[in-house]
Amino acid sequence: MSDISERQSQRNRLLEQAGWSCLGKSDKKQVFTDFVKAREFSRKREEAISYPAQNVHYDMKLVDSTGQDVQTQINHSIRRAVIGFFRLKFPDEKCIWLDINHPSYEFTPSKLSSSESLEPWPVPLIPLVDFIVVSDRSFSQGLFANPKKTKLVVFGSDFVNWMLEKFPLIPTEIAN
Amino acid sequence: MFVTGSLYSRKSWVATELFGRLINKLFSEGNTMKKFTLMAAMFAVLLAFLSNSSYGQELEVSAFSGSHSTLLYSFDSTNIDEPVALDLYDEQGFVETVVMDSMGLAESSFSQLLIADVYGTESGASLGTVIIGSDSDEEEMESTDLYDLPDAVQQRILEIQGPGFEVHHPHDFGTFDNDEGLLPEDGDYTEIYVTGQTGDSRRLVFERGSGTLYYTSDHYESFEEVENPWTLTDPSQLPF
Repeated sequence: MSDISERQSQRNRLLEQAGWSCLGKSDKKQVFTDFVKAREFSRKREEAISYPAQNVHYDMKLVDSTGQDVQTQINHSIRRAVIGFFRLKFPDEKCIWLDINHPSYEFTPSKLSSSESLEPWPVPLIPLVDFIVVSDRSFSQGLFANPKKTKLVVFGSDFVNWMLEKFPLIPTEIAN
Repeated sequence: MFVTGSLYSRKSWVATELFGRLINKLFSEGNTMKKFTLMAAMFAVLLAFLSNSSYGQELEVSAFSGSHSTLLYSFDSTNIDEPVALDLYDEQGFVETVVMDSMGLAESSFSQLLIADVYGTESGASLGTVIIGSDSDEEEMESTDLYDLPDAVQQRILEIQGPGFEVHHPHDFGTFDNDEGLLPEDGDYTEIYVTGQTGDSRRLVFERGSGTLYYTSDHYESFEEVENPWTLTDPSQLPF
């Protein structure tokens, strides 16, 4: 096995041990299909998805221009806020980390690694390149990283209220 | 293949495309009955082209390929007090009827050009005829010579054929899932970052089975095939 494959396998093993279960091809396809139906995803759309009534938007362009240390802090802050919500709201349900075109995961919030940084973690949630969705299985409460707009969008009333309280960045848009 | 959007705004393009195909089919078809069916389909295309939905509403269609090529229809039926159905026709004739659920959604498993008669299931009243087509799945992918690509891309392609190349990101040399179906289905894809720069949306995608290399400058929105990329090594020997 090459170094690269070995590194990838090792990383996957660590993620699995920490509670991130990589979705197989057919499961991934099903999750993606369900997401397209639920949120009408298309990268050709202005906002890429249709948002439910309640959502907040965080502009991450400023974060992009900060240094590595600030980005790391913000990343950890997002992780803690997001996982904190899912642990409270969906402790034992299978939730989804959908990274469009890339390896995606299923996770049970109460079983994720409880370290302060929540490492290992699939990829940073700062929306610079990939469309990422962290959500319950029905896509009613979740977070959408939208690189087209360089913003994080939180949707679902409970999650919106939670993030407004727990996430230190000021949202640029609140839709009720 | 992934398309979505307003049907009526693309109607003239789709009508022209579909009409052209039907004419070709008509001339190559020997069976008289099928010729009649084709002529009826052409007539329906003309009608759809000339008319708008009486409700002035748009039927949105999302199509995505994968293990099941699926069209997802959505229709704002809030002003209609009965379920809405679509009778779907392709070049061969009637395909199936799909009924919208209470959310105004329905799906079917065809991705070719279709004609849909939309009507109320109880009254049978017509809501219009629409043409559903894809503007991307029939297009051939463009190809580009290695030496016409930007310098950084050429450099990366050469670099990954030698020892000691850099890995820029957890996704670099990871699996590319082709969720949106823009590359051939059932490929075994690896994605490769061009640089490690934040915000650089350029990627290479390598199909292990065939050794084909694709380049995207816009982060998977479009692809082109790289011609003769493997100048230094046999792609089957690559370590990723």
